[in-house]
Amino acid sequence: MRFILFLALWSGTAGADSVDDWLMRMNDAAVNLSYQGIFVYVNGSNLETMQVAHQVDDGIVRERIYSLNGAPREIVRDAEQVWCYVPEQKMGMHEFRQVPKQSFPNILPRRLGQLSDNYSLTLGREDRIADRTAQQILIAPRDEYRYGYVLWADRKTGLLLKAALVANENEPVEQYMFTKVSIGDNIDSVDLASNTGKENLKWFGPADGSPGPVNDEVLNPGWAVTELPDGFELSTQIKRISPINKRMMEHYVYSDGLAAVSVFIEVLNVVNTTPLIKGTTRIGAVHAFGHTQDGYHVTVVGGVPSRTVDMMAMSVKKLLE
Amino acid sequence: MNNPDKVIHEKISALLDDELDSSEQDDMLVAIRDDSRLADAWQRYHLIRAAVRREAIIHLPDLPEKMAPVLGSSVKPVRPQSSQRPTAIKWIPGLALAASIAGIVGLGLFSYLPGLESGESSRNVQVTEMDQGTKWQTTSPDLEHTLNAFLVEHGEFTPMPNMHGLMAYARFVSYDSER
Repeated sequence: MRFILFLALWSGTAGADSVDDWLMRMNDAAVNLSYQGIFVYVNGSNLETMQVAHQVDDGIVRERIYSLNGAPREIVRDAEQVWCYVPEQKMGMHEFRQVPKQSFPNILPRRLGQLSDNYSLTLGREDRIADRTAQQILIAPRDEYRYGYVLWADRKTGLLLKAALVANENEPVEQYMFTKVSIGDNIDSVDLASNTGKENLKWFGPADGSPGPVNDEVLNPGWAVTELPDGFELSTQIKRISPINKRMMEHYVYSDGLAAVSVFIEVLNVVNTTPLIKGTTRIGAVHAFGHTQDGYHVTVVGGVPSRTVDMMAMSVKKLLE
Repeated sequence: MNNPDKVIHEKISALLDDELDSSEQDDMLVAIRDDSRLADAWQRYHLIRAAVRREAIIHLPDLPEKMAPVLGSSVKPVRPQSSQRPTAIKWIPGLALAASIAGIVGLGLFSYLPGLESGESSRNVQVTEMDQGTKWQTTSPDLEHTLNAFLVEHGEFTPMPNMHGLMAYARFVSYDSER
């Protein structure tokens, strides 16, 4: 009997002793738990408050994130689609979710091994977030081409209660934190529905109303990034009609298992009037860099330092056919 | 006899390296402003150097004021990017001005120069790198839409999304074009 009690405790909340255990628990919680609450998002000196409702019902996820101050933007998503409401500009963006078949749970064991090549992973202190006991997890980069992460997971459920992307000297670049959260309760369908009518917005989405092909297995890519930080590898490629400008665009995703960088490549066309990005810009921890090359425009976007997107963008090469 | 293209490229390189006297610098900047071929060459030089000398290029806050009389246009002050490692900044003598000039291009101030863009490049919209904010820094409202669409598409491919939690979506929801 004593042995059975020990096993029950070990496999329950007290069982997550290593960093790997905690990462697995966090993923499991995000996939399986329903929750709702208020969280703050801090980006430099800017602080925004948002409301989230996240429901998991028979494995089907529905979620709504809504800003409580500033422009009343919101995102509503389910297992297959995402709607982004931008009412102040009377527009919206609709996308089919592009999650590759090799999603997080399946790749985790392999990715965890790779992570330690490029990040130092350690358990931090116990803390208190939104009146709940949390375990801190420290993920420090081994070079300057990626950010570090400080995560706080709920000790009882594993839900991520606070997360910070940090640059050198643990300087936070971007962070969010629940101030109030309810975990495991039923969520009213009203809390998952948009406040903004779709009919009042001009919608941008996939040209033919379908998600387009996503190739998890990278086959015959037309382009390659020739200078990559250690650990980054091509994980996904997509070729489809862009919902942005209704023209063919190639999208390559490179990842080190934690950070991801997207490379968008489109043919320059004098008929198209869509503006192109030239130079570097950023929002929060995400940098974007664009430049024109050999009749194509290359835009690189990623949650990595500017040096990384710059280096990758400038090393994009067209492969011989 | 010197090849004119070679001379131009040497002068641009000299400008970037702060090897021209003030009069030559002024002449060269005016020439770049008025000649799209020079502007293209300038951009190529800048992009290459920006990739190599990122730290120096983004850490020269006082240059726009220096350049304003030459460019005849109001330019925005630029703040250094906080995500860069301060200890990595190496102040190379003579590089300061070159870095500052490059900063005008690299940090989005190039678009203040009239007549620099022509043909296909007129679709290029310059963006400005700031150290923080809840919106993309750009001179074009249309570009905000493009960047946000890229942001949403990119967000769908963030690996281990559950370790990033709500961050990807919080970026978009917090976005406020009025700020």
